[in-house]
Amino acid sequence: MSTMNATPKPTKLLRMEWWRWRMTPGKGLLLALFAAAAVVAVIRLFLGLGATTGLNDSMPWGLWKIFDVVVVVPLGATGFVMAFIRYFTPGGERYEYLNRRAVIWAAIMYLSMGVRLAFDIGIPWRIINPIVFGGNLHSPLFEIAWCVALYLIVLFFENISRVAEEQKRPWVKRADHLLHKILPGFVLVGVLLSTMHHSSLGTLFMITGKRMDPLWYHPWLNYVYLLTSIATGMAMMMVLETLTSRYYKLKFETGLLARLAPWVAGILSVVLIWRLGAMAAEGQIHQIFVPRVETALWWGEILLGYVAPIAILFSRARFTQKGLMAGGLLTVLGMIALRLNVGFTALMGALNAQYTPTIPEILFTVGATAGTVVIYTWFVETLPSILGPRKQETERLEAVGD
Amino acid sequence: MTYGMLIDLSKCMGCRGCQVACKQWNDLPGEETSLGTDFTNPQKRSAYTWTTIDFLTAEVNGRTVATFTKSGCMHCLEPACESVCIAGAIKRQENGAVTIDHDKCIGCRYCQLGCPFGVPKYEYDKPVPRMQKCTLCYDRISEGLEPACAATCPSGAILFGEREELLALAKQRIAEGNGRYVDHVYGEHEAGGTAVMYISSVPLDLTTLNTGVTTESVPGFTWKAMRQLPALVGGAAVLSLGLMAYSNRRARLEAEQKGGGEA
Amino acid sequence: MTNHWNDYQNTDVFMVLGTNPAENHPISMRWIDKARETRGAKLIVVDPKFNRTAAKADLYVQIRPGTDIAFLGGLMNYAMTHGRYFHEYVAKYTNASYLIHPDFKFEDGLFSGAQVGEDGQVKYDTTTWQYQRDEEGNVRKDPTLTHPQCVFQLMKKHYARYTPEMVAETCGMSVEEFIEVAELFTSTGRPDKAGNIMYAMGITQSSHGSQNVRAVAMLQLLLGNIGIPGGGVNAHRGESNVQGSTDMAMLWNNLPGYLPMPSAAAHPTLEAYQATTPKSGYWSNRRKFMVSLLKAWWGENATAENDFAYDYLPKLDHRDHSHMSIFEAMGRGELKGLFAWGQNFAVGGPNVTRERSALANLDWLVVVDLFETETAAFWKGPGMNPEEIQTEVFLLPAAASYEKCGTVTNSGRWIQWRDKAVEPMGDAHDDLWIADRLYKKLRELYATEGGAFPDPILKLHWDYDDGDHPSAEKVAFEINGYTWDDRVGLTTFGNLQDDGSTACGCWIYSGYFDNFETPKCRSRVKDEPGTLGTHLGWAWAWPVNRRILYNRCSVDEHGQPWDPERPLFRWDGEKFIAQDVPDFVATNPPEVSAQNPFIMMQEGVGALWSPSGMKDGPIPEHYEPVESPVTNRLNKRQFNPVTIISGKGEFGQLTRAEDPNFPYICTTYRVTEHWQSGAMTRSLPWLGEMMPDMFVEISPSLAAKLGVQPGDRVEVTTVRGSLVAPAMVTPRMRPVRVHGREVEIVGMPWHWGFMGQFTGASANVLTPHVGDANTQIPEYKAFLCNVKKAGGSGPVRG
Ligand code: SF4
Ligand code: SF4
Repeated sequence: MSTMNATPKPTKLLRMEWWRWRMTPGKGLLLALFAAAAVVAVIRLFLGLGATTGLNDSMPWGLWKIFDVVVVVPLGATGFVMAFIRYFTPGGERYEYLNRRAVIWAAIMYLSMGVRLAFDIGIPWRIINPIVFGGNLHSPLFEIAWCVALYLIVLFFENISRVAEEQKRPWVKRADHLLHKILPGFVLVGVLLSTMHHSSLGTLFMITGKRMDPLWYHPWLNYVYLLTSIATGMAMMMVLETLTSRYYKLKFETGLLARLAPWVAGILSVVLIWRLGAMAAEGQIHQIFVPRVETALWWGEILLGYVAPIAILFSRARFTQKGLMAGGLLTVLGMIALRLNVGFTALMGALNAQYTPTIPEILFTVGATAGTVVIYTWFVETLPSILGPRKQETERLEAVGD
Repeated sequence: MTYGMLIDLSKCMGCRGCQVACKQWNDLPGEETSLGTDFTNPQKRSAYTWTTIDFLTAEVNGRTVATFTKSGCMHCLEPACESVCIAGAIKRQENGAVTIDHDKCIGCRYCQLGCPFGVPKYEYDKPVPRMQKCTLCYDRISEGLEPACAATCPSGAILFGEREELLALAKQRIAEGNGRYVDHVYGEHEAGGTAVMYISSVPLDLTTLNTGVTTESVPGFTWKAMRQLPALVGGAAVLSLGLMAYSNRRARLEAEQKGGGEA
Repeated sequence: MTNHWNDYQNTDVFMVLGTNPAENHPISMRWIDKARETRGAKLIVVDPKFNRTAAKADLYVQIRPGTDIAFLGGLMNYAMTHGRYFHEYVAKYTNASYLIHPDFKFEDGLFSGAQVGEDGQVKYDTTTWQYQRDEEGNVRKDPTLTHPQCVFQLMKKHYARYTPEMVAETCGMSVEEFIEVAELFTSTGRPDKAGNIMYAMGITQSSHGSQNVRAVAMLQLLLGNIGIPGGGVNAHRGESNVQGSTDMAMLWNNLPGYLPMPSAAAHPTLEAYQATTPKSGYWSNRRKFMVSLLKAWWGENATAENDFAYDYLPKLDHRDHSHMSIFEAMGRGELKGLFAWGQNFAVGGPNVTRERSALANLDWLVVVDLFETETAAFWKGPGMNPEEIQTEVFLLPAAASYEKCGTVTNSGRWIQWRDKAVEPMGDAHDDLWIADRLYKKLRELYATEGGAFPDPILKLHWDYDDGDHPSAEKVAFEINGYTWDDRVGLTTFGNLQDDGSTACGCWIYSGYFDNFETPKCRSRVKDEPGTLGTHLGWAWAWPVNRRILYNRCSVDEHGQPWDPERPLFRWDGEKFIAQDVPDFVATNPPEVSAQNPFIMMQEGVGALWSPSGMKDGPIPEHYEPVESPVTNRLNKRQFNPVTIISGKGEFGQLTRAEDPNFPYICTTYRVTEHWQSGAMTRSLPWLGEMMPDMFVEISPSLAAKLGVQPGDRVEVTTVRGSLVAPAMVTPRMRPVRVHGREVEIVGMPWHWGFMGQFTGASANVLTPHVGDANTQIPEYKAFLCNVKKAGGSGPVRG
């Protein structure tokens, strides 16, 4: 499929200047996956969870919960971390454009998470019932639901200026101006909501207590989750920037991102020490030498998700795009590994779970994730102010390469 | 007042009258099953089988031992399932029964993860599923009847009554049993105390009771973190605002330094 | 049962032998447990398999199937040689002191009087088994029990061979285990202890089943455990109302109330029949029962002039008409038609493949049942060719127990009325309705078309109509009995007459339904707590609402209870203070009734010795099951010499002892979840899901030997047939050591068949068509088989 062919015909509904998104073979593939996920979603709606997923009573939470919620949310941690840096730290203005991408990415991740969650819960159309009709204040999940819902509003306001910037009408300009005045307030709320729900995603699993495998049991898993989310917020930014700058031929902000690197490495170090310390305090440190599959997974997580990124991001490599990309990616993967290990490895034994995700189940997760990337490109291409001023203003905004 | 059940495993003979009575009262369908390695069947509890008798036959010191353990919801005094339920669909009723309101349940299945005994089961095979589990026959006990299983049990292995009295009875049986019973009321402290309790004449690890279960109250596991949220949020707010003030000040100073004459 | 379920709370030591109360009579465990809880009672389980009752036992001892007499004889020997029997009871309340014919002998496995037929089959002339009598005809006795020819000494001598070692070797238990049981159970051989032996088909379904029961009874007599609260010989009846149906003459050689069926040759006239009435004991009233029965059946047509229609009563010919004989006759094509009324012999009969094929020789078969059973569908069973089968099958849908009213008689002889709860479904009707229609149609046909002998049908007294439905109450009233002239219900069989002034359908039931408004079988009044739990106001027990049979034996000669704690009766100097209906004339001083404590027995005392009741010996002797892995070491006869090796033809395949092709002992049993042939339960989802599939239980050692994993399919073969089912490898089964050799036991439930929702192989394709010498009950519990790995695993259905 060529770029030209993929250009949509102008329609009455969409004015030309609004449709700037370009189809490419790469995006086409992602869209195809996205469509497959949609098909799975429809089938699931009519046949139920048992028919489409590997879920069963021995394993109530599968891929759709552990990945599509527990992992996807911290992937969107870019939003609150970058906004915090942008608005509250000295010299934060320099991060304006990074933040723009961070918050649109976050908004997409959170929305996508909400939709995915709807398909995971047994009765999708009841997804907002707890918020509308009231739920249970003791439930970390209820707390997460509220935080996410409110944070989505915050994200709306953090992003709406990109749309406003496309508009010429004066009242829009005035409103946008006003919004900018109070935006730090929204950001603050966003940060607070985020500290809450990112930690609560860890709290979720604390209900299993010491049923959890000692390699992952942590008395304050909530803070481990919060800290790794913060690290991920920055690390994900490195990954996102690498891809975005390459794809859209932007300048890669090595300097700005390199300043974040020690923070990421520092947080990871704290987490690593705390995890090991907690294990030692529980008298379980010997577990890391017990030959089990779990131990191998643990070592993989620790070496690739902590030791390696710490080493990279503390080192001079952080001043290179490659170094940042590698360190960021490993951090993100470490975060994913932790969440998958806690959600699956550490619990399946305790629950005596028999669970293998089905092909449709995996397809849904992969497709939905592919969809978020497509949507990101759509926003980025449709709202040019997300990318900010280009190196060559004259060059037409176009996707090149895949 | 908390009602509960005392299950005297020394009396249970594995007739499974309770298992059928439960299905009958709660109108639960028979499941497709096939022969297992022992008689337990359905081999796992499900949304359609809320209680089973779990058979365990073993050879211990050259002698055959067979135990029959009635499984099902323990009706915790502080139920983990209730504490994690997002929708507030699970309620520990005043009479001690822990029940699920199907109209509220959204199907997040957190209760399944939270319950230390693996009790709630979901209708995964249905497009509009329900979370199911033993209700302590809430509908019966509210009308002054015993739960169906207790009413059926021919051997008197399942006693229904006020938890306090049952606990006292359990201790009395142990004390007066001349060593007939293991000195442990399972459920007195398990999961922070449960309304369904067991006593046994064989060591509990020869039964299918979960002997590894915590004795702490399970909701506390998450509550200890939830409780700190205000402090966490406060801390984050102070940090953010403090940093912002500092940044603003620095920005002002920098601006002043740069364009000194502006003021 | 001599006692009743609730009475189990009074027991000190239970011995479960050949029954499985926890699985097959769960409610009994409530009372067993109560005794354990309140009086520290002990539960002994003696069974080939570690069943659910064994799981609850204080002492479990494994026994090789079919060796109960060796075991019980050993216990008797132990009690007699260790002085652990109840001397006073034995001396005064049993025939232990009676002297036996001086020529009585036991040699080479045969009692004196044996007449060995050509085919090796033995018949006994019982002359030498009889009591010695003085000139006046009184039995000679030695109250000191020392005379070498007295029953006690003869027993002692007979069972002296049953040493603990011999018992252990024969029964496959250790000497220590035997002694542990012996010590514990014979501890009840004293006034203040009660021992209770429970049994069921594990005892009766044997080629010496009747002698097994005798041995149980004798042990209990020796220990003074009969007639006392908490004691007894307690048969756990296999069906909720099998006691009722036995009372109502389910057996082919009975009339209702256990009146013997007259024989055409021996009792051509009523007088000839009545002449056989016993001279002493309560049975001396039998003539009244018989006449009242005839009066109930033929009403105004039964008069003194026509011998109360005695001629209308069918009589026995020279043949045996028990289950196996009927099927053998059917196999020979001697039967035209058959009613299977709530019977599913295509699953339940022995050597069932042959029995199924025999059904194909019928012209017609009527099946009355809840579902289409294997019997109704025999023509489409495995190996059948429907095209060749000409039998016309009628399936009449029957109402289930909750869809009809009537009484049920439990093992404790309590008769309890049940009301109908729901209407039968579809075209189903209750049995009474079906019988009523059937009779009326037959009467009409006889009336219009005549027949060889229409009168017995035409003149039946059939007066049960209540609107368009026969009334179960009216039937009950007739069974209860009433005065012919004014139709007043009788309250006791004591009022029955032999002159036609009373009618009574079953004399032992007299009193249970003496009026329509408040019949006793509807009564539901509980005892005060703290008493012995006889609950005289709850339902009605035959006879005359007596809860414990032979209850005169619960008190000594002077009317004082053997155990003051369990005073069923106590003579206060003037009268008896009673908690039960006395089995004696309570107005007499105790010394008088002490002469006759077993009022139903001809001798008036308990029969340790049975001079003429049994076909195969006055006292039990151990014989091997007909199919046994070992030769008999206790005597020279391999198996019960009187046992009828039936069907020498196609039904008769048997395996000789020690046949290497069939090295394992096979036994069959039931599980809680299914009932009998599964005709009802295998169509109920809630029961089926718990026990979905037929299985074969084998020990881990046999599984290891065969290389069988749990769930692997095995093929079990006997000389009669084979089946394939998954193996359940379980420590419930263990091999036994018999005469120095380890023998594996293979066990399986027999509930499955090819019809219904839950299907599987029928165990009875394996069982032998051979039965007890006295009753012809098949030997389902002990036979020989081989087991092989069949390949594949998982259930075999269909
Ligand atoms: S046992 Fe499980 S389902 Fe039952 S009350 Fe306790 S936590 Fe809830
Ligand atoms: S009904 Fe009673 S005896 Fe029977 S299986 Fe259930 S608990 Fe055990």
